[in-house]
Amino acid sequence: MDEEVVLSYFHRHWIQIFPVLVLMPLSCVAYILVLLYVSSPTSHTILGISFLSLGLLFLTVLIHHQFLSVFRYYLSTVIATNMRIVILDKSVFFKDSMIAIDLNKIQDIQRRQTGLFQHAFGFGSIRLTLAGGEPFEITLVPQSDFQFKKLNEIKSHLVVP
Amino acid sequence: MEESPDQIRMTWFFWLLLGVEIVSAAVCFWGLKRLYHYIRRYRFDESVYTLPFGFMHLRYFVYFYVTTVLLAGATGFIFVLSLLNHDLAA
Repeated sequence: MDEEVVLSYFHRHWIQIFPVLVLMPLSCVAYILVLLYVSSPTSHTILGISFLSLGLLFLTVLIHHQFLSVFRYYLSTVIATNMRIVILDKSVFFKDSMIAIDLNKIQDIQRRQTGLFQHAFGFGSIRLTLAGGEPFEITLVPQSDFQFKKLNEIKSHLVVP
Repeated sequence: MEESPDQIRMTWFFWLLLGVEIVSAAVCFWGLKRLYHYIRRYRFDESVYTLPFGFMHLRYFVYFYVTTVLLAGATGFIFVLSLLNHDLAA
């Protein structure tokens, strides 16, 4: 039996984490602003202190959530081997899911790149039509034309037992 | 010496911040430990074709994460300690 070899892999397009990358520095600045306000010489009421505490707590959770989202982006990968396509969706703590599609179950591969946004940023989706099942769509594929050709190439070299 | 209500509030704020920072550092440490444990097991060589923008390695975000958590903790303590000292002096 042939050994499974990884032939290609990719993460989703960076547009997936773009909102997080924008919000990340803003959250850090907001955190510093809250601390500066706390240290101001004005007298704070108990209600004010409670709100500030909640604000700091919220910002701390938000900052962690943003970084963990970026790590999830890096851990979530689409892998094409000589036997199957594996779609990993993994986070650092709470998510670990994997979908494996046998190459010989794939009947057809379609690429879709619609709209100005997708063309401008160079991403699209790849739709796998499966034998006797619902089609499976991989969204936010970077350089979708390249990945489409690569997957077709891998499928065309498939050795049917 | 009896503490004024302001001092009590700031002491309460200090302990709350201390708790948040300890939990924050623990989450950061545990998260990075899990992340590297996973990466060591299933390592792929990243390239310009797989990295976001062609150059943003995961390790940059790890450094940024550690720096942010440490800085947030340090600045938080400095600010609240300075406030406590200010209140005590007043």
